[in-house]
Amino acid sequence: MGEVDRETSQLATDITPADRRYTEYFVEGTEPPPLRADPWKIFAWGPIIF
Amino acid sequence: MNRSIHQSEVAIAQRYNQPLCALLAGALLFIPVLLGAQEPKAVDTEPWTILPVAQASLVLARDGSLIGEIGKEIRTSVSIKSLPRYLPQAFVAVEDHRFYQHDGVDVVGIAGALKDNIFGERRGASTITQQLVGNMHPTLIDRTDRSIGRKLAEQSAAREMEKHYTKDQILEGYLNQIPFGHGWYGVESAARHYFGKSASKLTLAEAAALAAMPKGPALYDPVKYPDRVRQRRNVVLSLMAAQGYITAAQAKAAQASPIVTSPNGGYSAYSPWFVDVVRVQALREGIPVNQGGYRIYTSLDPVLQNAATSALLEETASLESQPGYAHPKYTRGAEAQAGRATTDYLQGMVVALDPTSGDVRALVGGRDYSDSRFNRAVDGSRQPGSAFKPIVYAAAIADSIPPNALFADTALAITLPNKTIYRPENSDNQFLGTISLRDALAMSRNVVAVQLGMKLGMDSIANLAHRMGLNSVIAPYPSSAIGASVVQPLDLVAVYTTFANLGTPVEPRFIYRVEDKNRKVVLSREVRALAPALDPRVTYVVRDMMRDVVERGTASSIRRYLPVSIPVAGKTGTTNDNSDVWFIGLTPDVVAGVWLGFDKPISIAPGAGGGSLAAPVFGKMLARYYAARSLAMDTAPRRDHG
Repeated sequence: MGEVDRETSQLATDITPADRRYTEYFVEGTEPPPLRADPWKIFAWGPIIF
Repeated sequence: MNRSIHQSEVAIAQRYNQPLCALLAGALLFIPVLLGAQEPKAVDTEPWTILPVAQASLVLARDGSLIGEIGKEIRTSVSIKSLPRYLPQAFVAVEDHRFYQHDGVDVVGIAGALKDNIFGERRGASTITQQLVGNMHPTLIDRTDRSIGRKLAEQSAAREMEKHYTKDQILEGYLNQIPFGHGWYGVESAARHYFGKSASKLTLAEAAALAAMPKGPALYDPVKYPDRVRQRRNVVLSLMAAQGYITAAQAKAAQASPIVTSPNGGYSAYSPWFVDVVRVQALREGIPVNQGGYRIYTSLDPVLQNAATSALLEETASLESQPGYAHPKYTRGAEAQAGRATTDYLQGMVVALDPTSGDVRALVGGRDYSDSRFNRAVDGSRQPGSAFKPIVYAAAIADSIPPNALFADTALAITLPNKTIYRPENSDNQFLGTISLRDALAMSRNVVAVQLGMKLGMDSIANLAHRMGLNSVIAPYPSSAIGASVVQPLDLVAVYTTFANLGTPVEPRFIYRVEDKNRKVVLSREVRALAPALDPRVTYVVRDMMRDVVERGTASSIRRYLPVSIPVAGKTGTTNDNSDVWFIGLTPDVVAGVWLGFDKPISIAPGAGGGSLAAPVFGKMLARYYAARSLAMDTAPRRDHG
């Protein structure tokens, strides 16, 4: 789920007014890209040390 | 047989030692000779026996209260010992005050009746025993037959009955046998229907009111003619006092009390259409409930049923009372033609189910069962309009279309296989441009639903509808996406249990179990869930979208009745020309559907819609249901810590 701008149907941003925001629910795989789980992001945390 | 009549008549005459009686007995003896010796009918088949009488099958609500009876004769026999003494006494006082003296035939009474008839006052002199003989053996003793032959046969049988049974047995048989109108027989049935209580709980005034009825059950119906019944009841009470059964003070006190009858004919809820379904289901299972003696335990909730009935009646009456309403209006009691299939005034139906079990908690099949028994919830076949759309949207979400996906709410021209052009329109005749799937459902935009239907394929949507429990045929046309294919209302409401149960629909259940007269369970119905039709995540998303229909969409009128603390999801429906209006919705406790329309589809009124007409019925019904539930919880028995 994610906060969506009711007017644009896009994910809400910091400047989206509160009265236009609502919580949208998505079936996994249909959510907007920023909400998707991305396994590659794990590398953004830094090298994996074994 | 003539010989026995002779002996009995003479014996009675001797007993009372009255010349008039002897004269009358002699006259009765010779009348058959003078009339060509008509033989009393069927004396060989023992018309003096007290037979076991037919009992009704009882239909009980989930709380055990009585909601209906099934059988040719609605009767529950009771022992005379269970009755308050003044109840049989009231009947004896008014119907046969020499009951404990005569031998089945009241010769003194006959003489009095003869004298009164000569002086122009028509009255009979049948004893309680004679009445029982006639009522119990109508094929042998036809009480409508006024011939001397019939009277002699009845007298003979009455005397014979008195030889074989005690006075209490005869009186008990009589009290359980007599008709009280409406197909109700016996004092127990009459007490339940007229006064809403068992005969054992009747007051003196109520007992006397029942005793007033055998003279003419239709003429002395306490519901229809309370004043007339009160007058005759007071006569009964005076007779009881005069005959020493009660004191004058008791009679006076009872005479001062008003006639207070029970609503709904003594049932805990007015639910005749529900009882009809129960009867048919039991018969289909091979259980002869029509023959009586069964107890049928059902799922009906009297509180919700009463709320559904009152909400439907009030909202339809309110619509009819609006200025400019252009159709025939329903008038209670006017031109009632029970059994006619259709009416010309506005009709409606309400069905409410338990979301998890499918138990039918309420079912109202129309506005007035006495006028039209047609069950619009079960036997109706109507276009659902936009109430069908949640199925289309569920197919879309299941097909990986997110609820914030944008669609064009714009003019469409679709060429059908027969080369005609289909141009779907919205009910407000406007197009809103780009709109999200969520908003399209909340605002019930037809064009978006048609696009989804074409994108997903109507075959796959029809397939999903059937998996969700819909049995009707969904035509593979674009218009089916906006509810053009007719459905059975109960079916469609049950489809919505899929959203309540996160993907698994349940079948409506009316009957829990049926017990025979020995309390042996002969039928038991378990909850029947269908195979999961949708992924739980899909149903969760669609249910959330349907909440927007109520919070900010076409069914926002519901919030006039239900507080926001009660979550509601649902969908309105309105068909072409506003001829059918729907709302089907769900709360955590109930899945319910409301339909309004005419039996012959015509426009209800300009601008009529599911949100303005059907949703208020839903809202009002559930507001009353939750208020009653909350009250019940508040008034639950508590331990007193004094």
